Amino acid sequence: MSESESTSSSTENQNSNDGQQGRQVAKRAFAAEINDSTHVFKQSDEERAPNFALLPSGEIANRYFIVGTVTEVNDVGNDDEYWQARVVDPTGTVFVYAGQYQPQAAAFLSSLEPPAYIAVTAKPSTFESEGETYISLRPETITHVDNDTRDRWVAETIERTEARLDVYEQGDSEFGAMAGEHYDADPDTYREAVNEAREDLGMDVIPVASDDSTADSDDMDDEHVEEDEGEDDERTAEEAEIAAAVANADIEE
Amino acid sequence: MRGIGGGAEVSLVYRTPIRLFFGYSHSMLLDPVEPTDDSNSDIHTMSSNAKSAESAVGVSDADLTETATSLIEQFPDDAGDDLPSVEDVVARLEVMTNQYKVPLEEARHAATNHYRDVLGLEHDDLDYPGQSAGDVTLGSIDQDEQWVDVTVKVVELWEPTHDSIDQVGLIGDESGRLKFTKWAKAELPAVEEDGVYRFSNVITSEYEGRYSVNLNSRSKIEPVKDDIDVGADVEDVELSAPMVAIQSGSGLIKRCPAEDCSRALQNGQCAEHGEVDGEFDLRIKAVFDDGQRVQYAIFDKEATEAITGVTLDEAIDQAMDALDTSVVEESFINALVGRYYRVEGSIVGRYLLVNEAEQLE
Repeated sequence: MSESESTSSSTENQNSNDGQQGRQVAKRAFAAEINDSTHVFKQSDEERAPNFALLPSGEIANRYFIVGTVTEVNDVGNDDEYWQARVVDPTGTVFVYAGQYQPQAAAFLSSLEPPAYIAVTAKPSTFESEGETYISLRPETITHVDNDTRDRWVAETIERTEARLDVYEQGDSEFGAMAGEHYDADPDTYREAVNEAREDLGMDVIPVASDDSTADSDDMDDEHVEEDEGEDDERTAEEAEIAAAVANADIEE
Repeated sequence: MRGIGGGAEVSLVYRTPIRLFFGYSHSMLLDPVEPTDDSNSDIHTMSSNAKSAESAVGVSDADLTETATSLIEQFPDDAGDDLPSVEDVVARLEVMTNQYKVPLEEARHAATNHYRDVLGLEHDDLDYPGQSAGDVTLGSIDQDEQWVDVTVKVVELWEPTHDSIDQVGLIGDESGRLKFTKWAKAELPAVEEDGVYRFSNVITSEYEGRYSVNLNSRSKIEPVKDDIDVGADVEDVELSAPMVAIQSGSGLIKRCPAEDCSRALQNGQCAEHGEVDGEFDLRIKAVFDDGQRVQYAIFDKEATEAITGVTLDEAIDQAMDALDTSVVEESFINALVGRYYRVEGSIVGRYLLVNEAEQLE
């Protein structure tokens, strides 16, 4: 009993601290964009200043609210339990990690039986492996949700992402210049991702301006790649590496 | 289309046009003695524009004395021995007006600030009777830092979040409801829920487009016999957004049983009354977030029972079985967080007091 009291208060104190200082909004973004948001920075020099991930679409995110399907959960820790969940949305996969500092989330993931829809409020952080920067998400709250909630989130995230891209392309994003500086990103990449989400919901696809024959053949190449077994092996190997790197990484609390 | 409707309704839509989340008010300072302020002009007959013969001979002793007296009255009585004497103030004003040819109103302003600095007082500690808008209704309050008198009913008292706050809650009159804060250093009498009072010399403040009134050491509270029919909420809102968090202090809580207290206990302790045998209550402190704005919300017992389907008695049973009240909060988190809701209620301070909430299917 005392243990559960102390664990619940440790996570909730974080929440209430946020509350006192004016809580940061939870941004909506698809996996395709979250995984590209690898530039994480602080806006002030203060020790407790919040971290922000720079989105390629010209906004910043201190936390995300995502809803997706957990397809796999693994304990990737060495000595202590460290749970990794693959959370899939129509555009890709993000990785959620929970260890001893997220006791409720860790307990939730350890008993989760995939596949399952979950909603996660999480903070982004980065880690390096083999010269590449990856995003990991540190959950504040994880809950089971149903298919309707998942679809509602996809619809909302389509709307938010399109709005962000519109503002970015008009050159009006507060962090647009910064995004242009750090990422060599083509907004159409994320328009195409949004179209995958639109298809998922049975919505009309919006033609992407530069989505001509070359882009089409790119898509087809992607499909071929996914069916390629050699590539799958490579991916599995890569994920094992990532998992090991995360487990060893000194995750910032 | 699975009833998604393109997601267009998934946003914090405020039904009434209220100003939200825009810039912070700059609480700066109304000049304590505005030349255009009619209520002062009869006292201070000397204005800088005066071209009468009197101006040539300077400001009369009578005017200086009157100005000095009213200046001292602005200062709180408890400044005591440190308060300047009328003679001191007259001497200071005399030098500025008759020697340095400063208009009397400017001299008064400068002298007020001088004594305020000497006594280590803040602008808010002083009384500016000339600034008071007099009797107003809550619904008509639309200025920051305005001194007003209101006659109100205390609708709800909340737990103070800081030692500097003596009482905080919701007051209402026929025109609407506003948050009020009674500061501890004001040392004013306690007010009770459902009590009707006249608050005089209270100062308005604005935060994110919402107004509240503050009671400080210059304010007065008098009980009023007549009842007040508190009107509808002036800031009744509806929003659609997911609940992204439930904050600690939710679920099954205990409140202090002392009369007029009802503070939530922490580890069996009331901040005011120490260790007490609390009374169980249900509530949820939720965070709604549509990706653009955060809205804190409070579900009281009725709203909590309605959204969770768990009654207070059932929650008590759950806690008894687990020998731990936190199981109730955890079960609420698992049942509610991550889902989308339409929520309707009144905005008070930074909270939305939930009247009705339903999950969006």
